[in-house]
Amino acid sequence: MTSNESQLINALRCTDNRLAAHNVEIPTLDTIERCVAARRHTRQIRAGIAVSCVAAATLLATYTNFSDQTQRAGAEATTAGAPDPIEAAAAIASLRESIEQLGIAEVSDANDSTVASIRDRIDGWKSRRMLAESRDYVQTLEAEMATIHEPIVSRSALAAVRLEIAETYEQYGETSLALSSYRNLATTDAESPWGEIAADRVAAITK
Amino acid sequence: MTTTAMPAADSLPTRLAVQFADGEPRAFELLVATHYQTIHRTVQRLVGWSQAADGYDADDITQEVFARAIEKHRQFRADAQLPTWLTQIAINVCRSRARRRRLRQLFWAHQASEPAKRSTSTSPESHLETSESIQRAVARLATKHREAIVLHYLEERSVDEVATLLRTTPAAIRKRLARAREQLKPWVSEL
Repeated sequence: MTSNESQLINALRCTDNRLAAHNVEIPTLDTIERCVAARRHTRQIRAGIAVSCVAAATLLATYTNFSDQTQRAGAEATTAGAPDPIEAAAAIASLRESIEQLGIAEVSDANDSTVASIRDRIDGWKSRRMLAESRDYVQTLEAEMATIHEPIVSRSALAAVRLEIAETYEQYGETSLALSSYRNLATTDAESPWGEIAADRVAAITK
Repeated sequence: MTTTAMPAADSLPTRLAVQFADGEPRAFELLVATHYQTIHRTVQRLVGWSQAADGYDADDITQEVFARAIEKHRQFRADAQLPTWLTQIAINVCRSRARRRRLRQLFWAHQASEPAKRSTSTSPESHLETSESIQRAVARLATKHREAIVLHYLEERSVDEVATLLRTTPAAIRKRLARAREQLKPWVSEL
């Protein structure tokens, strides 16, 4: 071991001793089991919510020509990826408000059917998130997402959501679906952190 | 996938592993009581001793590690090591948190002055407290480099063990350690 290396180890250990929490409160099993139940519920709805929010972000992008709102929508879509359904529902509500404020009604003159479709989607999101219990629903969302116009600004958010969906498949034990989702992501977003993670997962699963 | 074959040695850790794989509630309780503090410490190290205010909360992450472990107890092979398996889950949960954090920062780029401020204030000369310098330097390492440093130097695992935990090769771990040492060098040379 070089002297630099032993200096580093000493410094790391001193830091660790100074900063480590010495009085860790150990939760009860009941607390952890409630956490398990909450996680199960959250996971069921997360993929759906996150995809819906990204859909909203892309719709905003379409109508605002990549304006500031798009970035805000993307951030909110990101928030929806957090494991908190209340936070995610709030993000959806906020996105809905943003879309309404942008005056989608004005667009209706140009394309009634598009606007009706958008409104249907927005109205459906909140109730549909409660139905996100089956893998079929996740599959439907993924298929739907594939058809959404992808502005560049949302690409990272989409990659993150795709990764979440692949992880959801894996968690449900749908290895084959997980593998193909990871592979797609590793190919389409090879340069992004999410693509790298997907490639790692492909390697780990096929190992 | 579950293997519940009884290992040869009937030690307490082995019995706990077998009972845990079988989903016995008492084993869940013991698992938390026996391993919570150790995993909490590992988590703290893996997130670079960051605080809740930085988007990481070791208490919250550790609780999630155990929630995942209990949820996935059927996937645990009773002839495997529970601490190793828990550490793997901890690594995955920490990675997942780091990913979400990066994503948030990406979209709030216009408000992301905080990381920039940090990077300008982390020159070796600007810190009086060595441990503070080291903490910041370690926190700024790429996740894979920090994982290697923490598991090898702080958790005192061999390169082979670290490679197994991180699902890569010993050569890759050696490379990551060398790279991390290189990045930490300016801070160490100040000691």
